[in-house]
Amino acid sequence: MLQTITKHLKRFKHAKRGLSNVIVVMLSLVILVVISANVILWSYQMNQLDFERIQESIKIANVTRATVSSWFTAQKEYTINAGSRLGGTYTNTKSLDGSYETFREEKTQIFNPNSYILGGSTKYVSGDVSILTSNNDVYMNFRSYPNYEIRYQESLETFSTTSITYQDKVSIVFTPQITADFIIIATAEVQGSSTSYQARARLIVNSTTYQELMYRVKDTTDWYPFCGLKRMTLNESTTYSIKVQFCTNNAAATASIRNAKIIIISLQSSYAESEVLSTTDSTIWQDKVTLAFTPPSDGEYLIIATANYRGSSINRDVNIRLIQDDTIVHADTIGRPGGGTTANYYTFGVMRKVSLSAALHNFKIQYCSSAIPGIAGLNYAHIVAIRLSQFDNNYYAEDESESSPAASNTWYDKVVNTYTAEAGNHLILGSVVYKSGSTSNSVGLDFQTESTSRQLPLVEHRDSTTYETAFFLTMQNLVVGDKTDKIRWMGESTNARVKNARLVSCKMPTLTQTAEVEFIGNSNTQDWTQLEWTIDSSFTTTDVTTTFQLYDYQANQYPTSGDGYMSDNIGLTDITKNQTITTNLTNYRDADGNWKIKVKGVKAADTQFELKVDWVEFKVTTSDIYRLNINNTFAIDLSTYPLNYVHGIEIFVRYNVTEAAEKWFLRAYNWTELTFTSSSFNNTEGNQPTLNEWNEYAVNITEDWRSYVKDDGTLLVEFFDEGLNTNQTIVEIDFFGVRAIIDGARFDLKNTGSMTAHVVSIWIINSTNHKHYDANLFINAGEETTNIRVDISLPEDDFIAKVVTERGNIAVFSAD
Amino acid sequence: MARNLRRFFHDKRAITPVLSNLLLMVVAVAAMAIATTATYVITTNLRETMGERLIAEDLWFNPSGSISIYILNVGKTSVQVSAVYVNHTKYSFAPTLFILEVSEHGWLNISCSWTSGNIYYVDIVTKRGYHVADYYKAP
Repeated sequence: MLQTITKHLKRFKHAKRGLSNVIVVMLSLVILVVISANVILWSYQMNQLDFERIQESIKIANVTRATVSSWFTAQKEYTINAGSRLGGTYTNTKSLDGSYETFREEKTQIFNPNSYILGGSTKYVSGDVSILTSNNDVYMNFRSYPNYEIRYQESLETFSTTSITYQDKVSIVFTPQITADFIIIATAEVQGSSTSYQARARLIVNSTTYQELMYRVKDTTDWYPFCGLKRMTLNESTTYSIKVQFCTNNAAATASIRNAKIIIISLQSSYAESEVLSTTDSTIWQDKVTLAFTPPSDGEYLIIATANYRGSSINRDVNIRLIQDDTIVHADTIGRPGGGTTANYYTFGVMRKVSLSAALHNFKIQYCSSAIPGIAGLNYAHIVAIRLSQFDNNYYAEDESESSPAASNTWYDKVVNTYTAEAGNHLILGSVVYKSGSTSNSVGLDFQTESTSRQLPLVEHRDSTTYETAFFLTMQNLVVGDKTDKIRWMGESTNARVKNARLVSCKMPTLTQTAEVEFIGNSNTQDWTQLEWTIDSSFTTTDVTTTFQLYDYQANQYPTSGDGYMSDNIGLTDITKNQTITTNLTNYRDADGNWKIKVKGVKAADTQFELKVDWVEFKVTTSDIYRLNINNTFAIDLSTYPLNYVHGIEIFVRYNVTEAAEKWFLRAYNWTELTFTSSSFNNTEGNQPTLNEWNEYAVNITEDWRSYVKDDGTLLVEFFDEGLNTNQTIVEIDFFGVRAIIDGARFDLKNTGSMTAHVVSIWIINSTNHKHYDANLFINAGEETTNIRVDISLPEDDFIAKVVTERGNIAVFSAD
Repeated sequence: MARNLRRFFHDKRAITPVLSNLLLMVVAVAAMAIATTATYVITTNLRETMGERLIAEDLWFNPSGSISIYILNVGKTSVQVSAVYVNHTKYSFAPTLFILEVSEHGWLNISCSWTSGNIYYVDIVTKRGYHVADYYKAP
């Protein structure tokens, strides 16, 4: 027997012929499984679905109109602006059950700001004034602004090019912190290698040209002066590219440039410009541009004027001048064009310090032709007047007389400006009117500060009568001590002349950043015995000199010391500043009880920072009146009651008092007007309570209710006394809540089946309409539920309501 | 080692049985794959037919003179309405391509006039042959 089994096993082990049979059998089994899965199991599932559908049973018990939502109550403890809490918590005010929270009137009352005003160019960053009610590290942020902005760049070495397209010599890429009017001044000297071609230079801002020199070279060794001026509004957070560029007008010639400088500065100024080309064949002075302004008070101004001129003939001159009030001539020049005539544009640039009275003044650039026939042309004409009091200091010297040299090729001082400088950046400007006096000899100019040459023009004129201008600019960081700036000059012949030489050195103010904001609030007009004002704030930088001022309505100004004034050096950490005032308390409110507090932070810096205000409080103590004022936020569930379907708000409080001598009021925070009001309430008269019993006080807001509800459904509601009672009252609050007034439908549903039902559709059918609404409501087996739909408005007449479940069952309710 | 390898590569004796077995397996697998696919296709169609369920949530005798039916697909497969019969007469409907995915619902408008007070037997037939029918009395 054993041998037989062993033999069969060996045969089975060695037999290979059954392999295909096995595969066929296995695959047949797979087919059977597929058939079972797809037909038998699916059939089972569908039967189960039908069975479940049969077992499901849902009924509509009632369908009624829903006019109000459920109550929304406090979710956190009440904020007490006046009074104190004796017992209970906010949870006791969430239901009408006799359990209550107890408050007591006190003589102190707390007020917080309801609006703010930005000072200077301070920018609002984030936060709402409503968050300033507590010291909770939630901030209103304000960004500082600079007293002015300045950028200076220079490129002194000589650059050369044979390119006929403009090449950069010096540039500033600048993004202003605040939008302001910026004055742009540029200077350079250009040279050309051929008297047949032009050497060009221009001032551009973002590819737009504002001053352009096209100098037809007279002598290849000359360095002809270029100057540019422009005032324009530069917008904050926008990047600007300001450049001095140069090129030649023919690749056969080389153009060179040196001592190129640009300054951009946002100082207050008066300005006029006429940039398009104007021409005249008249020999009588023609106005090109007029700057007319009235200084706010007598003061000293720096007048700068620039233009580019062209002529029409090599034997006619273009006359240009800068005059004040049609009488005072500040510069009078004569220009002779080279070959190419109208294609060439030359430099006019002068400056002068003037004293102006607080009356209307005008400054003009005028031009004309020297003789007939001849056409004089002028473009890019600019005049700016800068009040010098904006600088910390200024030092000025001028020599208006015409000077002639005792000897040729000898340097002479034309004007010397000697002063004792304070440490810091100084803007040093100069201008001079010069002539070579010869068509074969040049005149040299040397603009020096501290014995160092900053600009060195050398010009040979085309006519012995030609009298042109040169304008100088440099920015120097000086140390304390005696300084000397000079304009020196030299003639290659003794026919050279110079006149109207001026120098000014202006000490730049320290760069500071300021954040300044006024907070405005309301209080009461009762008799105060004490006032305590508090601010908690910090900055996003260290060491900010901060002042806090409470406005004095009696003096019509903010105090600078004593009561109503606090100061500190505040940095990154919140500092709470607090002051208690006990005298002249009415000085700190107006007739309506309004008050205002100013916070100002100043730091010597050029980087902006933010002022972070956490808490602003104005707390008063009355002499005889006891007050209670509490508020809390109430949030409507927008997922159930979207604001689109809300028609109003109802506020309800149930309370008890120990003194019935005064009324009690409800108000809500108006998020548009940023203050508590009761306008649009159906009842603004308040509620006169009955002593020692539960008093119910409800108000409705059906007009302009949206102003009281934030987009997130939040209402801020205030409950307070009339403010008449000299006896201290204790108030017990049993219930305090708000609810939405709606026009919806309430469905009372019951699942009488043994399976959970999923309602997917609701129908409201009347004689004129069959209205379908999507639904997504699960009802457990045996459960009764109420579903309020704010988006379903029930018909006035008879209707049929249906609900449809996901399994396909329909429940019907007929309302007759 | 090298000698054993040479012997293995020069041994031709088992090639024919191996090839015959392999061929048989390939033929068997191919035949069964075809059979499996055909079975799957046929049974899937069966399953979808079995999975169709529709209900008419609402039927509205429209004042404009037509009949609108709001249909909900409560089955386990998408359905396409292929024909609508009112009192056993076929009527056109809109949209002409009326397909409802699982749990989807929508209006089906039948171009059929009605008379107030009459009884109408409305029968909706799907492409796979499922139909939902009921009597409705015009208001």
